[in-house]
Amino acid sequence: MKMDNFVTQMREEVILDIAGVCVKIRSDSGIELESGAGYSNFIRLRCPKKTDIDLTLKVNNSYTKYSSEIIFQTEKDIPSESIGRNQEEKDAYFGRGVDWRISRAGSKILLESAYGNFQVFLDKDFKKGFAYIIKSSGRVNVSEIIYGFLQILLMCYLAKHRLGVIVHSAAVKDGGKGYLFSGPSGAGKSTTGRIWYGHGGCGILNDDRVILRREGGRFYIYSTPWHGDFSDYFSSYTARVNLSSIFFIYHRKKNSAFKLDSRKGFGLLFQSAFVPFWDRDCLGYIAEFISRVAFSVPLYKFGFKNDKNVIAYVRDLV
Amino acid sequence: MDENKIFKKNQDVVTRKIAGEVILLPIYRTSKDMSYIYSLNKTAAAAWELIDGKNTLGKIRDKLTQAYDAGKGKIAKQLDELINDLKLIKAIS
Repeated sequence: MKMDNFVTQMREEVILDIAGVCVKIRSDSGIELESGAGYSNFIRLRCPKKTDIDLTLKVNNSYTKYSSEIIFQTEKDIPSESIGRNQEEKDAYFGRGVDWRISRAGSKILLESAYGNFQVFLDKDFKKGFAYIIKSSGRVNVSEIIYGFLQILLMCYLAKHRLGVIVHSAAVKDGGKGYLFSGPSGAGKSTTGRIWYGHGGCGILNDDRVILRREGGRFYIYSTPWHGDFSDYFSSYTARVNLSSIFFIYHRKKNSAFKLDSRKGFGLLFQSAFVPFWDRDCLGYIAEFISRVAFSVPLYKFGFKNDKNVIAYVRDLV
Repeated sequence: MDENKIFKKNQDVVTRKIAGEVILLPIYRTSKDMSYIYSLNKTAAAAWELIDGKNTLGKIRDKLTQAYDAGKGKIAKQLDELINDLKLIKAIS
């Protein structure tokens, strides 16, 4: 059930439904939600079926050092012993340039971020967790969770439970067809979203991150709250679409596409996937999943010109 | 090629078969180490299967020579190149 036109609220419990994964977040000190935010499309009054991920939040005013074994981190190694909240002290705690890391802390998984200011203890199946948000005031805004650690958590949950994968792609619904436009930063994902947005009959699922899932033998693209440079499309929300074709895009002066061999497409699609690279089982599962996707739908290498003619070009192609 | 040399697969590499090719997926501990996934063609995949911590390079060469009906010298050269590549990406030790 979608929330309509609510003002900023404080709630003790917030429920999110992202690609069919229901996340329940609770905090005794309240969680703030803002009206009109893009994430509103993902807020629910109750879990449609069952709670998949159950999180309890608390606010801490500083990082706490825990005895843990680092499994994976972005950027650097071994933090120093200092704890604090300003940038210099965060660099000292995590090590300069560290964005986030995952560690084993006893029987739990510890997900920490210097950038997003959180320390989250999770069960090994990622179904239940306790999150400390590091800040001076007692209020937490739900966007701090969604744009803080929830994407990493969902990446792990999807892989662990063999439910699908987050990919770095824009996605468009054109009638009954779903197109994935994949590529690294600067390839033109947000540009693609802007071109197709508002064009008759088209819906934009996202311009940066979508989730692929397999249901009933078919692959579906799901929208997520993690947008890129462009987010106007959230006002006319498109939740999911059947995957029809994948385009690996780059900017070009003239539209030109050619079909890709599935093996080559596998490599490109794998590069665009968000993968728990530190976990043997999850890594293997993602590779198998991506290969199934790559062998199920037509794949194209697509150099596109930034104008509306690209829409007719794609429609003629598919 | 040292015929008596024995190699074993690195446990930090995940192997999957995709459309007849063997894909090697290294496990990464930091984002700065993340680079590539690797694909082995049919012959390389057969050699990869034989790298088990027990077979010597000489034995692997002989088995491949039998299986692919190719010259021993040619197989030895290709095997040598493959072993060097696998060592470079730390897939074997």
